[in-house]
Amino acid sequence: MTETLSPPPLQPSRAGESGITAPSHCSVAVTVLIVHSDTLGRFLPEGTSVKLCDSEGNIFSARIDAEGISRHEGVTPGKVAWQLENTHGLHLVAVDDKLLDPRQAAAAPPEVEVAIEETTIQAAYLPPPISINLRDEKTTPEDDLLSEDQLEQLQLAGNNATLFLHGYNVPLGEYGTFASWEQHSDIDTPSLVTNAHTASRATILQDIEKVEMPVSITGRYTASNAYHTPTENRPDNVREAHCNGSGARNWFVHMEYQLNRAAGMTEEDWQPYTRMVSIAWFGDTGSVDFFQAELNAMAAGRRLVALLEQLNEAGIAINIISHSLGARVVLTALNILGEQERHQWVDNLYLWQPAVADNALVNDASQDSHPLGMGVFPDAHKAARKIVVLQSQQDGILGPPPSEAESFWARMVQYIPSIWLSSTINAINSADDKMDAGLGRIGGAYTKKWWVIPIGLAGPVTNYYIDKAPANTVRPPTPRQPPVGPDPYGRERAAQAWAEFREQAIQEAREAIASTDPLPTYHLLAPLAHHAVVSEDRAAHYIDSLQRLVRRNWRADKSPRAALGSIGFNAVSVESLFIENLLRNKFFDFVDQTPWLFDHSGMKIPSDEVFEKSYEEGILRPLLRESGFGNYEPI
Amino acid sequence: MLASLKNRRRELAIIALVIGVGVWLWSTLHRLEPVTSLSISSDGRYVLSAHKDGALVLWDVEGQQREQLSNDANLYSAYFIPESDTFLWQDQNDVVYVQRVDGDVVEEFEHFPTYGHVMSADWQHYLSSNRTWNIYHGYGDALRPVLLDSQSPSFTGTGQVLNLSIGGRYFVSGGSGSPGGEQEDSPPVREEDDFRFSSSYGGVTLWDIDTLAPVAKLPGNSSKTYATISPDGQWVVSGDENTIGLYWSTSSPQDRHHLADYLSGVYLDNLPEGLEDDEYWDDSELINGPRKNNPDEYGIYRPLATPKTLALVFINSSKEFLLIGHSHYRKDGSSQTYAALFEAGNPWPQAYLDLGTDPFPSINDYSRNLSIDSAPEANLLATGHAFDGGITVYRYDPEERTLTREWVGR
Repeated sequence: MTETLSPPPLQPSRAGESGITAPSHCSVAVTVLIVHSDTLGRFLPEGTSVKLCDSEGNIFSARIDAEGISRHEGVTPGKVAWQLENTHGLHLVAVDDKLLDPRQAAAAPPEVEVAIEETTIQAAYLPPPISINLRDEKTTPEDDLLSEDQLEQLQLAGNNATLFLHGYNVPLGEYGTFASWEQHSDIDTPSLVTNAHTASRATILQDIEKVEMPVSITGRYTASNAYHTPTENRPDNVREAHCNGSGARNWFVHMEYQLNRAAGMTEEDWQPYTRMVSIAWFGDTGSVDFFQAELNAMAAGRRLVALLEQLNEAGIAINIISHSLGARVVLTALNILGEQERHQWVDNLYLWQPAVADNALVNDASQDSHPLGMGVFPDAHKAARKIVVLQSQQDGILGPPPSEAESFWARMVQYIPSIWLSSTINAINSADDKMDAGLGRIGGAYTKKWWVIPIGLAGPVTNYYIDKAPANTVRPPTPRQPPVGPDPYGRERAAQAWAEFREQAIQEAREAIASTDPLPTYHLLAPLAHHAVVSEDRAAHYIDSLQRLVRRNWRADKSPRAALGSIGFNAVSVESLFIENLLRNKFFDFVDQTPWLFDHSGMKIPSDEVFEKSYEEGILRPLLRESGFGNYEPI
Repeated sequence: MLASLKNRRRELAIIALVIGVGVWLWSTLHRLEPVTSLSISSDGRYVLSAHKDGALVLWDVEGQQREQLSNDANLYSAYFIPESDTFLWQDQNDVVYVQRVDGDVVEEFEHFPTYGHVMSADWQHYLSSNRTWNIYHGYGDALRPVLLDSQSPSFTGTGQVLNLSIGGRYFVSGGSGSPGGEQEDSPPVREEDDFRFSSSYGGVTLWDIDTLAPVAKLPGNSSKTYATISPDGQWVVSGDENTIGLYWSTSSPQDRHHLADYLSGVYLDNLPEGLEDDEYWDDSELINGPRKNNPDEYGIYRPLATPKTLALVFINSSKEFLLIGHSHYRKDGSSQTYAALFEAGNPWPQAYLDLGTDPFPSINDYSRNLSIDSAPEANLLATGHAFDGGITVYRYDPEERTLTREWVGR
């Protein structure tokens, strides 16, 4: 049975400056000093407004000074509570020596007894979330970088940064809202202060099982009378979106919470809670334009380089976790670093269900099965000390399950309409993940049933170049009917257009080199954006490959590859001594999650097994041993 | 006339239904779930198996019969004591039984739920592991921790049972990866407040069975690792999910040797960085391994043997052992069911021996790594089945170096 709690009564020091203690009834009005700091020992920003409420319902607003203190005068002795105004992600986790659950503290801010003429309260808050938005157009170079405060936060929190990159088709989304005290099944009394506005925005995970959001049932049933309208708890997805937000923000709060839990944080003590560096990128291109999402991933990867440079310069250890197509973002950045001879900048890279080719990490570009050379990141491995792939053949998206028995169900699945199957698989997923599954199906239209890399290119590449390339190139000229007149089949026109296209691409490469920008922006050559600088030769070769692909009616020379997130290194280690060597030396490693990960996004809301095997054993234990996550220490 | 025809049909339908229900009931009651642990007696006469549903079955290999002894056995507790007709098993009330094949219970004692246990041939040493891979010696009042320094790795965390094996005056524990830390600084038994984040002995370890102290940490493996010791206690061999195979002589455990990868050869330790990829390998004595007849879409003739190890078993006293790879069943004929035959102390595979695909052996699931065992003196190998509750007993011919099916018990 759940313990019912009211806001915790807290008893701070009643000693005044004189050192004399006094009973509460002796004072008429008191001064309350609150020292606000985060769990890393930093005072909250000067000027932050604090609203304090006493037992009479009077409001006393004050601003935090340079020593982190807000001073509230004329307060009636008795209980007080307060909230911060216009802040983001500063959630209360301790008052004086009393530890608080920040979700409960937000729903019902703790009440503190104040009695003597001057009472000092120590309040500790979580540091704010750190995120970088690589989605929006960059207006200044600083847009892609951390602020001085954020760098300091990472330095104080163990001098390490754990970056997380979400997958395909995840919009930016919004943070959730803290459940109010009425919605908390384990709080039955309101506090003096009701959190509102920014203080109610939740940047940490809430347990929706403890949240009740009754709604009247009006659609399906008729109430028996006007006074007894039946109600039901809102469905999981509504509570989830309300409490834990949507899109990338939803991913961030889930992943951050699970990483902390796996590192050893308990529900009783949130003080060690460590913020990861959340990276949002523009992967929500719609469920059919995977190619554009790949280009966006590579563009985001180029921008990510600046952040890695900043962290490296600051001497902060870097670890990265990516999900699904987020792998392409991070591998682009690492490939560029590798090409620039900036080696071993990243301590550990964890590719979770990576939606890249299984041979993406080979060091030989000639092994690329992608006809346009987008499949292999030959220098990426140089930028990391260790790369771990977490794969599952049962994730329902990236590849087929290992065929076992010809079981009844295996046969039955053939007859189940794919749309039904997909909705079943994704019944518990949020909307963005359904888009992911949607692509799995559409990928099936081009290939058999599962993801292979690359996924059908004809439409997306044509669309990409429609307003960039000369006419008669990616869309070949239509033969005249009947074939009369000069160049009836359009061959000369096409040859001329391709020559022009080739020259334009070479020109783009030439100008980029001339600009001396270490990471120039490419348009015609955007599919090669995982290379720092595209040489003229590479540009020419790329256009030749594209022309060949169009001439062959988009039929590639080599078979597509299975996804790395499905089969891991299993096949490529047989083919590549390079991969086998790195596996043997443990520069590369893997966690085969096939027996326990049954959902492409199953790490967001992990089962006990996924938590213990993937998070704890697969990621956090080695990460804490070999690098660091916050101030958590391997014991 | 019509009415009687209708009645006749109804009668036939009822009879068919009764027969159908009867057959279904009979098959349900007699059907065994897949084997989760299995042990073969040293003389090869008996196999004891524990199954997913808790069934404990004694298989008479000579008489080709089976008898179900219990339906509430601990899934990982089937174990024959070497050189005897006596076995260990534990019920789901955690009572361990020392029981003869004729049914006599020699001894019984309460214990924690074991995830793997073994007993020496002289019955002097009982070793058992729990869910979090701690190791204990003895039972009851004589219970003594051998390894108790962490809660990790664990059965739940790695998805495999810690395998223990006794040979000579040693025993060996398998593991997961190669934890760091010097042996001198790593007491294997600690107070709970002083537990390590992850065990210092979570990798392959050689222990002295008399002192119960670690003799040597044997590093070099990664991911899920299986290790065994030869019956005479001279050789330790290991293999893992990452295809790394290693061996050591117990007389010089500081000297690590690599088993040859089936395609690349022997990995050469301690070479400088920056050489060509193939310069790190010696393939001088590789023999051709079995491959699928047809190339796949990348033009590769996929090998039918893999060093991605599920289990290692000595098959010819302490002279030869089999490395059994992990493989899923694949309909396209590329299942990797060939085991590699090695000579102890020799890195090169001597032959590849097929376990067959029908029935498919229990090589597709790391959590069932105890479902494979051998009787080295009798040259027998026993495995469970991947998809049913049966077992297969194979006979190895040391002269011909062949493996044939002796019995498929169902």
